[in-house]
Amino acid sequence: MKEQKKFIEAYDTYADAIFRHCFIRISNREKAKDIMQDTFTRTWEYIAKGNEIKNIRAFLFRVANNIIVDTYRKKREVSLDELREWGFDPGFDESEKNQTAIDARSAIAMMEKLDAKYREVMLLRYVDEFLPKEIAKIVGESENIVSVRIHRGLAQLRKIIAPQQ
Amino acid sequence: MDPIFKQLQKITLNNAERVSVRNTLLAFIQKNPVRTEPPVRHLYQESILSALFNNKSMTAKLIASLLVAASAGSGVSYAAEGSLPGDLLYPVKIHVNETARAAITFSAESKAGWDVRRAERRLEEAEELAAEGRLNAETRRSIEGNLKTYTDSVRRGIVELKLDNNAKAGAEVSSQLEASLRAHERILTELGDEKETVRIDVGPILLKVRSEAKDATRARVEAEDNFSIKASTNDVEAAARGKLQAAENKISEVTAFIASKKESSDAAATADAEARLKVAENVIIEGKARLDAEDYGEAFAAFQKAHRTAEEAKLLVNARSNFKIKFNLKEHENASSTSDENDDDNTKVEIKSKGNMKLKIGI
Repeated sequence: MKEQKKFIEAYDTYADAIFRHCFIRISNREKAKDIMQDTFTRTWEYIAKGNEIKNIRAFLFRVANNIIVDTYRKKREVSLDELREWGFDPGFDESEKNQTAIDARSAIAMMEKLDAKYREVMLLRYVDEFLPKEIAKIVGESENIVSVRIHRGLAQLRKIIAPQQ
Repeated sequence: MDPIFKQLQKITLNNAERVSVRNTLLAFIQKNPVRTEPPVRHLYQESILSALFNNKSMTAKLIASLLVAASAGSGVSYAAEGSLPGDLLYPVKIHVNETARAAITFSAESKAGWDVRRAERRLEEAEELAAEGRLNAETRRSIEGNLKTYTDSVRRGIVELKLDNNAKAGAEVSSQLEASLRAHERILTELGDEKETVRIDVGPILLKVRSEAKDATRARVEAEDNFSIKASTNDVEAAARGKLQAAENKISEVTAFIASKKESSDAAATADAEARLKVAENVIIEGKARLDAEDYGEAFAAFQKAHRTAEEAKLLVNARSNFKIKFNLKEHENASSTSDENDDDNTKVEIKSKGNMKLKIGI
């Protein structure tokens, strides 16, 4: 019973973050919700087998990433343009002002202009707010490489934004 | 740059989506509980030796084994299990076996549950004696006295659970007691219907059981209300979903049990049991509707009722086949006196027996 309570608390705490993580990468609201739910059910299955999870937040993100990778693999090679054609559904909270919705959409669009490797670590750093050490574990690279990618990503992003200003 | 990430961070689920997935997950974790121990099939191990080996505490094992050794070897303990009031070994059954069993239950919930079982054993003894024509004033006194001891103990246990903030366990134990008493009330009635002499013998016990059954119904309703008021909505919801699973499992279990007893049962008795299961299934459907309406307290009560109905069916089919009771075609007026006081309408089921007469069962 204690595990159930902790698990549901983890859901209440991290459901939004996981959904956001998936949505930014999948761009389809329904699919992102499915993946978020899958993340939690798979995590519970792991707990139900009697395993203990020390850092549930990192665990959830790792599971979510695995599912996203599998999803991409299934779709073979999908270009970013194709992704957008698929029903890029902003589907933001209806109560938000239109202005915000547009900004978030263009924010995603701008991020997509980055190299995939830079984009991933930057999202993990600035949206999911993981530490470089944690990001290193999630993407499976050394901390050094993670730092380098963040710096290069920031530089690239500045160039992308600059024309807008 | 910062605005970009801030915008991205604004992406969230809306409330409906969050709650919807949460509910799905709640149901999922109820269906897939943490597996650290092998599933417990039988709630109460009646054999002392098997209870010994299942319990992890060394002290408990020591106490229990000393008690068993004191009865001059485990053979006596085993033999005593089948004894009835008036038999030589009956005191061993009550004061050694059952006491040892009680000594190794630790939680308030399992203590109360074992007390329910002890009350049940007294009624089973009464039925056995009645069937053998051995129920007399003396054996009756012994049974009635013990019955009162254990039902009182159960009641105290339920109050203790309530005070301990374990209202859910209190509601469940009340439900177990109610199912047991009502089933045995019916069995004793049917035994009496078979033979006039038996009817006279069981008369006083039947009155006691009927009154205890009414009290148990009242206690169960109160415990359910208490639970749904005191506990948080999430807890009640989780309990309701867990109970749904338990009720569905129970129905499967009893379906299989009825099939296994088909050969040794009267056709009408089988039909009665199956009809009761149908009622239980219908109650589950009602309960699910309450779940959807987020009426979690009512849903929990409904699933308890379904579980109870299935349990009663099992007890009845078991007793009727053991005692080879010819399921009575006469309408039991007594049946309606133990209907749920909380129900607006008594769920009635009509079945046609072999002789093509209709029988109404008030549930």
